Amino acid sequence: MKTGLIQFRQTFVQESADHIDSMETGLLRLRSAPDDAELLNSIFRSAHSIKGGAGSFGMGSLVQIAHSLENLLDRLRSMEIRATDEVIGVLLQSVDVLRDLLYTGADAAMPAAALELDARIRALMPGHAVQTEPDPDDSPPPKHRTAPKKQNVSLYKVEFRPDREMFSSGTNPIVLLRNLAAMGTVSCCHLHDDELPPLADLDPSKCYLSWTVELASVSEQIELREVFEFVEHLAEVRIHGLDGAPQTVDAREPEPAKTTAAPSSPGSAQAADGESAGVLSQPPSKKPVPGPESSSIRVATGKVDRLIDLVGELVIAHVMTAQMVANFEPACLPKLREAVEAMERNTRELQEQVMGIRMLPIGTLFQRYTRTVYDLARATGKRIRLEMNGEETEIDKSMLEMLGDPLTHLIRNAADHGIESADVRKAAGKPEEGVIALSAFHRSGRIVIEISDDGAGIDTDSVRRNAVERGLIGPDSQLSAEQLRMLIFTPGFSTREEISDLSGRGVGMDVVGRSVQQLNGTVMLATEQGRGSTVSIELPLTLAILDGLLVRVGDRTLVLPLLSVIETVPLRDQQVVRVAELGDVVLVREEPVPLLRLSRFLGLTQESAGAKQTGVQDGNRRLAVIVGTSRRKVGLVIDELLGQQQVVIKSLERHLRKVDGLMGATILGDGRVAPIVDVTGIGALDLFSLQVPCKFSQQVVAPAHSVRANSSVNRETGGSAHELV
Amino acid sequence: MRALAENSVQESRQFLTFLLNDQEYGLEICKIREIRGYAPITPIPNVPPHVRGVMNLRGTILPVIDLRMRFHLPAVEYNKFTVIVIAAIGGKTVGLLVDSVCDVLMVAHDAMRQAPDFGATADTRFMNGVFESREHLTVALDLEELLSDCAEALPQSIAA
Repeated sequence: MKTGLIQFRQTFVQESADHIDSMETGLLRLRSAPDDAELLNSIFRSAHSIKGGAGSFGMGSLVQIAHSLENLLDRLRSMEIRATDEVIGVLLQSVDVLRDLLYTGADAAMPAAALELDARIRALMPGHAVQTEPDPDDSPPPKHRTAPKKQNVSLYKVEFRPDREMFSSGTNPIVLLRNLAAMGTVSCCHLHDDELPPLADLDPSKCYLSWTVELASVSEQIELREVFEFVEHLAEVRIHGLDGAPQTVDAREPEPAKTTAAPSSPGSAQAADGESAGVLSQPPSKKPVPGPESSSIRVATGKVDRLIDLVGELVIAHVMTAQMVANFEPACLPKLREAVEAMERNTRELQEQVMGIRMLPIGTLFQRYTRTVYDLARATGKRIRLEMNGEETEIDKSMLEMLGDPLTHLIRNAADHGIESADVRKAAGKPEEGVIALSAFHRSGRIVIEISDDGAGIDTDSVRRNAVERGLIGPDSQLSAEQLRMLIFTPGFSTREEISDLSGRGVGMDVVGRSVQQLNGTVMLATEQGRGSTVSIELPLTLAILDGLLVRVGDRTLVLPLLSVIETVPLRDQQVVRVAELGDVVLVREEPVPLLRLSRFLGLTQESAGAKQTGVQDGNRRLAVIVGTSRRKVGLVIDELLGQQQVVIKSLERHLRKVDGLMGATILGDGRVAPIVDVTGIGALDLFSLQVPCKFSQQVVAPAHSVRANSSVNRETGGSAHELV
Repeated sequence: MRALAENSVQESRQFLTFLLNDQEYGLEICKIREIRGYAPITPIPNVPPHVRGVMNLRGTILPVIDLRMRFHLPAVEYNKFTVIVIAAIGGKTVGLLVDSVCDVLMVAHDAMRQAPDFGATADTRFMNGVFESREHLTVALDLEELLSDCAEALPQSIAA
């Protein structure tokens, strides 16, 4: 199967394997330091992440073990029980079980070892029952505790005709069918393969199949339709009631329906799912890929095709050039020049395309959360819709991978703490359906990812109380509203009193804070009580491609991030006002904008710009590029606009260090290096004053002749390895 | 121009020697990536003066350090002998601007002497030792020290 879900599952298996390994080492270290809170926290985080992911993939037994594990760890954290050898032994054992479950088809029924272990964990915790009760609906045993209610069963005929392109959205029809099967008893399932082309014409990325399912269910038609909620735009779904109008059913949650589908033996609801999948005449083999897979990139075929084209063109251009050089006569020169130009063009484009491969649209990550939100909504009984914006924003692959965990936690948090239940929302005059919005965009040359909800918002007073209770801050410490909000990202913080399966132990936000820090980004939280909250993650573009505006200042070429450019105005005397000794200001439509001379930032002397000493007059021929930082606008004085192009950001930090006012550098088409101005950073530099700072003088003089002595040194022999002159 | 001391191979190290203001300096060859002719350097603001700017080495942007300026030697115009020695250390790669490169020498372990004590008048921090070749002394430079000092001299730490 080639659907996205399988890929996400692989990712999850890989991530979880890492988490399990780190849990194991953590536990072993815990033996010698049983009171190490940070260690416990990190083990806890791992268990939490595994639990979260496993929930999304319906790996009920994993969730359950991880949940029990969490409970036990929580007791340890709160010092209720001590980390004795026995406890650690059980913990380690559960880590082993987790690993087994992860690799050996974790969606199979809970193995005996796991059940036994679960019992042992429970035995270690007196009075655990209260906490373990609210299991998520996808963990098997509790389902059977809900007594089968007497329901009115309706018959439905569901026609499910997916679009050809359905797989490209990462949707797996078998999951939908399985969910449908879970809503009732399937009496008949037809697979329509009439559209299936001959094997030779078959495009494996397209979906040619459609299904008709007849089932008896206590659910209402609306509830059945909800199964297909996320694919409505990708498939044609028709649901007919077979026995007239559907009867009124008082069951709010769809779970009771399962009792009809599930076999009588408890603890094997998953097996039931497997059976129904079999009924659906689909290949039942859905084993998780064993073992971690080496890091790989999924590249759109279009990109690869383009690369092949480019390489082809390049080869042709090369052959042409080689031929011309072989039988060279002066008359060929224009043709030769042409060929070289073509080659240059190709090479440049090839370079760009190859760079682009590392960049993936963030939508691939966002897609994952459709399912997460769906599950969360079901588990919490809330109505939640996920909105996505800016899915096409490209982000470096490695960053994308590291964002998975923190975003999951944020979404979980938004669904669990943010969005209120339908009744509460109604009472507050809000639509019953809560909205979680995920958006990504570029701002000031950084990638911003925002997760916002229209829920209850965060009460800073309760944040404060809570932090004091948990001993994170002193009872009378003075904190600004901003500082208070940021407390949410400290370990061990939770505003929720009761602990749910989804979140609420105060580990999630801590993970967010850390992961974003690792990416050199920043987290911001904006919240308004009753209106919702927004978490913005700002990330630097370590290897991102940026739309740049190329400008000339003196004899230098600089790149300004196009996204932060508002407008360009010519500088004329009457518009420029000198404000005391502080600097110049240009009036743009009556609005004063401080001017910043890039030549000064670069340490260029005024003479090299060919102007008089007075700063104002040399503005006659110049332009000011008005750039907007998040706080204010600044006018950057430049000499000439050279044009705009996409540039690949290269870090200066790697080999040099962070340079104030620059966010990196890029290599222009001709091989020259051009610094990229950090618009936010440059605004913060003290460059407005009129004194010419004595930066290093610009004295790099080009050599009389260029030297071609780039032969590398032969390291094996002791002889002289390069020839000069 | 052959290397000397070819007998005691296991006890010797190879040095690339270059000229700065007519004095020969050496850098251990295992730290050298390649030698390039002078190519225009893009100046970068807000860095110490001896960091002349950055260069493009096949897509990687490297800082270029003028060793003359580093050692407070009189500046000269870059000419056709000016060479950028690309050296790598501790994950960082830098270009070092030198007057010209001379030779690759095999230096026996026992031929290496400690840097002479000049008292307070001279800075011996960058010196790993001196060795004799062709009747004159060559100073073996300590690249780590050269770059670590460079980092300290910067207003901000290199870590980020």
